[in-house]
Amino acid sequence: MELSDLIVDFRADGSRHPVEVADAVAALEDAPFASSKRLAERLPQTNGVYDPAGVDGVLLRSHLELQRLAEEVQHGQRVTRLLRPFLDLIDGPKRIVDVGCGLGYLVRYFASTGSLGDDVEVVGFDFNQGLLGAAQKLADIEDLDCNFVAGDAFELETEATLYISSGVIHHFSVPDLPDFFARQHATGAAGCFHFDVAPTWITPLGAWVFHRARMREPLARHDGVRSALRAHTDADLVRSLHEGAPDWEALLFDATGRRMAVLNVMRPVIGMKPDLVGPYRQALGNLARRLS
Amino acid sequence: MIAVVLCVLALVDAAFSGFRAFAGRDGRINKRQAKIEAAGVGVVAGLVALALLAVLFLGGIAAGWYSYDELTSAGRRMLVVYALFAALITVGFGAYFSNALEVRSLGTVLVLGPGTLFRPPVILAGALAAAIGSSAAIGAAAFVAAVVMLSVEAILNRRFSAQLAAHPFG
Repeated sequence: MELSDLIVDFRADGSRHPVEVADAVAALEDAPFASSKRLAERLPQTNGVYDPAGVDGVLLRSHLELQRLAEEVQHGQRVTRLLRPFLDLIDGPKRIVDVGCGLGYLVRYFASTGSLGDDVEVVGFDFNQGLLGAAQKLADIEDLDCNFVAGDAFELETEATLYISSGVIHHFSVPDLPDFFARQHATGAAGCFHFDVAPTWITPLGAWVFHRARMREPLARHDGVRSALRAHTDADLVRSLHEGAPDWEALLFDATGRRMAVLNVMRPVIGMKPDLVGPYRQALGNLARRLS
Repeated sequence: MIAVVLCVLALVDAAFSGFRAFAGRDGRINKRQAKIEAAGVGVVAGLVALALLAVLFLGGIAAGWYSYDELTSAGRRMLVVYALFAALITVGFGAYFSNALEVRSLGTVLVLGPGTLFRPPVILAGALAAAIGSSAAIGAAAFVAAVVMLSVEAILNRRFSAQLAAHPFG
């Protein structure tokens, strides 16, 4: 289990609830490594309750380091090259919702580069108001036109064209995944692109090397390696998407085992309306060979 | 010549130390100028480290602990280790600045990421190579040089960590 899931409690209504250290430690009772509990015990706290400001600082530093990794693997460009051809198939203004956007790296990247086109609005959703506040400040500093919302990404007043996420879906257990897809499918969106760690044979070692080499915050190192261990298999993702969004076609880009494992860092599971699949393959050009 | 090449490598390494210490502490999308400045701070720290080491080595020669020729001979062995590592990192950067995303990934995943992790042992291996077959005084000086260069990134990390605490949004 990742510590960042345990040390804060933000609810869908926007409220924040105190988290007792003992509860977080108890949730780690079956964690495979004793270091998880030790780290949970050392995080900023007052009278046995995690200190909101201290914990927010830890999470901010961790997410800044995560953004550094995203920059290094050119995550923004990787997402753009798959999203742009899809968006070009849809007429009129488009609205993309980034689920669990954290510091809003992708939202700000798209706003800064304009890589998705002028008629695309990208909105970042997250329950963590501390991270969203930081995301908005970063956007303001660079004068980027970004929109961040604290709350449930699937309860929107305005319909979304597309749902995306990065490194989020491994936070859901396999039994919960169909509901995750069902909720976005129910909004009437045209599709979803959810990027997450690919569980190849080398993923645990690669995650350890990179989080050791690139991250300094102990929580970021811990959660980075744990997330690699929790990554969902291709089969689980495709089955869950079929189950939760039966009217969507389920696709994978760079399915596990189809290319060099070291190159398969983050791969998306893609859901889209069936009538879009053919034109999307055509629009992707040579990259379409990597869809399955 | 050996000393000059080692100094250049040390300054390049210090520049990268500055970049690494800065990276992951600034959430802005566009921060090219800040990255260049961080590398510049690294070079300044590297120059200070080299000045300290120059005092050590020249002082050792003046004190009769070793001769310049003995230092050069040890430096040559040290350079072999560092030049091989530098060549590998150069290949990684070549891939990283390619136009193809997949080639860039190879540079990052196979060379640059692991290279950061292996840098401290490589620096110490260079000192070990210099020490083998040299006097105890040269061996000690080589290890002091390695520790000083390793401490450059640690000091820069503290500097940029303090900067993040004071200005969390750049």
